[in-house]
Amino acid sequence: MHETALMYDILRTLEASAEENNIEEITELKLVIGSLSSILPDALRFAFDSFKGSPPLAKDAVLEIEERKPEALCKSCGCSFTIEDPWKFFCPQCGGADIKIDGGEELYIEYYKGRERTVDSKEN
Amino acid sequence: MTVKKIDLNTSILANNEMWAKRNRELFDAEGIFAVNLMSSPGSGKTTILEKSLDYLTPQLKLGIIVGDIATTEDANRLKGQGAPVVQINTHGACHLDAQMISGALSSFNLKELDLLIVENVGNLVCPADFSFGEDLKVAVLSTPEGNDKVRKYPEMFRKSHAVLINKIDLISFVDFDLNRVEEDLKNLGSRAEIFPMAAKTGQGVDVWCQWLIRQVRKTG
Repeated sequence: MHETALMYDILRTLEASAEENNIEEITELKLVIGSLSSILPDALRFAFDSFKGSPPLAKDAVLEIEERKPEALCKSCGCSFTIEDPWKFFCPQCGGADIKIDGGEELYIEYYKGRERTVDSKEN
Repeated sequence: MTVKKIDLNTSILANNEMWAKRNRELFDAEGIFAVNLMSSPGSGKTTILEKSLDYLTPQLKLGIIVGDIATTEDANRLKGQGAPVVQINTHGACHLDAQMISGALSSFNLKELDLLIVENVGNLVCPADFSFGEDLKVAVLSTPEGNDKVRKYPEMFRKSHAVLINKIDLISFVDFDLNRVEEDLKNLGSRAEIFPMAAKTGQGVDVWCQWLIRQVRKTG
């Protein structure tokens, strides 16, 4: 629901970082989104596309989103499994609910790539 | 022209996290226990607050923040009950964020507060992602909404420390199975306390308030 606002925040973070790193425009962005967050990757892609071409994003900028599901370890039977459905936090083998969860809530910018500012473009 | 790669590894919610940390530090410094009250629109959050104030204000000094897209109707309902109330209008935003809460905190005399309750914007999705530095997340589910909401909106319920089942007096009219809710919460690995209540008649509100007071005193 708030993906456009989030993408706007992401771009402000990128803008500041690009300035520090002497990058004129961003050509590639990689985000990692856990399946437990309420952020919809498709809505982020839509927002990204609508911001393309306006600074700091290049017209041909590409967005990559890696979606991560939580990994779990059952403390009762030792079974390792991926939580495929966000309403099933129990062991598929023994039904145990005492599980250790790793990941699934990631929401971060892993990296971006951009074209370096040249002396000429600085002057322009 | 050379292309450079920058590894950022920065949280997308970094701005919210920064404000939440700032709020948390303020709550700790002032000895304030903060509660994030969340639910879908119409589940009865404001009525629960109205009735809870009767139990809470004799024992604790309260502050209330209410969030809505528009109007000050909720704040008007809660005013004059012994606790200062601040209304935040989000003008379309689907949740309260930590920065909005930080702004609202300046309207309170924080030294005089034991407990801050924030009634979030009615929405079962987005508020779950945006902590403001609270001690407790509390979800409300009312029986006419149906007993399938826990599994349909798992994140909010998975993260909640307590679930208030409101409008329990309507249960026989709306085909609501409380066992199903308990089962779904168990499947989420939730250890949330469940409080059935009918805020309108006051039934069960005392039990929830006594529990909340114990949580405040435990940390205070």
